[in-house]
Amino acid sequence: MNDKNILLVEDNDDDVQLTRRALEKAHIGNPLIVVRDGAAALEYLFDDNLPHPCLTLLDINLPKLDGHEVLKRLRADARTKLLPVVMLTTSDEESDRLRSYSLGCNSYVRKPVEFARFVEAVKQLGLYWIILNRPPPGGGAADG
Amino acid sequence: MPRSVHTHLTRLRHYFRLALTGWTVVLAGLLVWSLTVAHNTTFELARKEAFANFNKDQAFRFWAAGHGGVYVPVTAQTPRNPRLSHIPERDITTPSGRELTLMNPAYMVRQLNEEYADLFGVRGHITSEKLMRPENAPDPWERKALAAFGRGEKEMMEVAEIEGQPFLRFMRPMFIKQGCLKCHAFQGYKSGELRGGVSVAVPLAPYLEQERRFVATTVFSYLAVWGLGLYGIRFGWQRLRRDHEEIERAGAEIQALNRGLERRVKERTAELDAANQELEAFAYSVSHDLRAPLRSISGFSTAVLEDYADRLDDNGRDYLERIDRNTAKLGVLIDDILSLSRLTRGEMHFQPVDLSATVTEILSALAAEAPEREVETRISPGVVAHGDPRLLRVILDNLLRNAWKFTSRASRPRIEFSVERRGDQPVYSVRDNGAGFDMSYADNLFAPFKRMHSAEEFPGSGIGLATVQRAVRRHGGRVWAESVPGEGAVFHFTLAEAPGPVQGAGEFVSAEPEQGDM
Repeated sequence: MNDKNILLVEDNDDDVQLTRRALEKAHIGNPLIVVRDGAAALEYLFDDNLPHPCLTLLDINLPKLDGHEVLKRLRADARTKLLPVVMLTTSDEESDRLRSYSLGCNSYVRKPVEFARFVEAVKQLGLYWIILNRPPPGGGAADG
Repeated sequence: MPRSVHTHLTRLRHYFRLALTGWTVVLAGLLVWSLTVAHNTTFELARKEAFANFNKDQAFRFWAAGHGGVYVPVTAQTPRNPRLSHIPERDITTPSGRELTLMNPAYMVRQLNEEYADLFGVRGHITSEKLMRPENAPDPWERKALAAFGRGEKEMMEVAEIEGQPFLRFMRPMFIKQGCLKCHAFQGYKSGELRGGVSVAVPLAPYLEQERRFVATTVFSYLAVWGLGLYGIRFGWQRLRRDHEEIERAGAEIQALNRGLERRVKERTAELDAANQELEAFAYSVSHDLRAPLRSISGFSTAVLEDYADRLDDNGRDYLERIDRNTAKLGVLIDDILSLSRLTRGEMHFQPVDLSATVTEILSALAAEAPEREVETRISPGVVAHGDPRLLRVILDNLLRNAWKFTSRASRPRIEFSVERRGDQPVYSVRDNGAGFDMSYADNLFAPFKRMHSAEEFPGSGIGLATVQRAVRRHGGRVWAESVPGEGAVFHFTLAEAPGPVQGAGEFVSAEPEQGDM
């Protein structure tokens, strides 16, 4: 609870590296925990011995369980019902945006192609969600 | 359809049965009437013959009675009448010595009838209850008739058999006249008293034979006509039934064809749906899978540029920057292709859209993006069109963005939005005084990725006008352009919209877009 972790759910190694680099460029030093598929993400978040991250960056296209399914299960579980989840994805499809918000994501950000703009986006995300935003009490558990 | 044909056929069958029955009844009626008339005619003829013979006998009798009888030579066939012996001059002798005897009317008629009956063919008979000659006795029918005359009947006519042969029998009463008393006064008769009766019997056999022949011919003719009619009706019925069966067959064929068509339409629709889904999946995968590697290229080339700058010379840095710029360009291109393909997907929601307000918004946004530029704008106020708001915004956004871009080098840039009615259709126009284009290349204007200007002159992906055309076409409208290079361009478009008055046509109000910080 004390570390203010960031959880990145991303299967593309390039994207993991670029995200890590972008966080560094933006001078966001919070620990970055990376899981490579939807099932691993749920395993991590439903593990009562592990602290909840202050921000979860969730891709949509993921092996095993896709981002939407992960989000759905997170919202269905009292422990993670209020957990801040930002969709960070390549897709700009209306259907994906609609489904993500319907399932209860807190934000939807499309990864820009240009790295400079990607760094800018990650920087703003970090500033907002880690510094500016006040998380729900209890780190995302509905019963507080 | 076959059901209605069946009903029709059943009704037709009913009509034909009625026609058959009607035809039979009418012909039977006519036959009965015809035979009745023939029968009546037969008897009328026989009656006339009876009258003729009766009158002839009467004439003979009256003639003879009028002359008080006639004198004839005495022969074996005509002996002296013993019943006239009371008459003084019954027998006379001519001066030359020939013996003559008196023949009274009854005697004369009787002899005529007895000896020449074969010539007449009709039997005449004078009879009475008070007989002078027993052989003149009435037969049972005549006795009945005489009794009737006694009761005041004027005549009797009846068909009766004589010796097994049919005869028309006619009888009238005979009254005493002055001439009769010469012979009959001795019986105590007075003038005007009923003396007896004169009867004739017309043999009916020849008439009946004629009638029989007529009946046979008539019945045969009627049967023939009846049969012919039946055949005609039956023929007509069969023709109609065949036609109906053909119609039914054709109907069934059409139905089968329709079912086939429906099935094919369903199949095609399913195929089309599948193709659309594939396209959707393709677009989705383009959006994802093409952009991801692009991001990596941009990210890592930037990383090299940043982390290994000291090991690169100017050329190396330039190359890496070119890589980064091109990935950005490719990213925009992919997005444009995606938005173009998105235009052909998705439902349209038609509603009234305030185009003037949309144009004002877009131009304000453009002005906010480039606050350093001063562009004069003229927007016809209150132009409302019926269409899909999202697509209409795409159309105007692309046209205005183009106008904005191509007026960037004009000395006093101006952009206009207006509407005018051509025929019964409003034509919307976006006009600028920018670079314009050569009309000889206008064919390529709306084709994707075809550009009129080099990227150095005016940047762009070449997808904007293709997008406009697609959006306009989805509205059932048309888009075209006019231009003179260096003097500007005007883009016109129409929308197939619900007919209604176009507001704000032909007027302009100057509306400088807000130049502010957004």
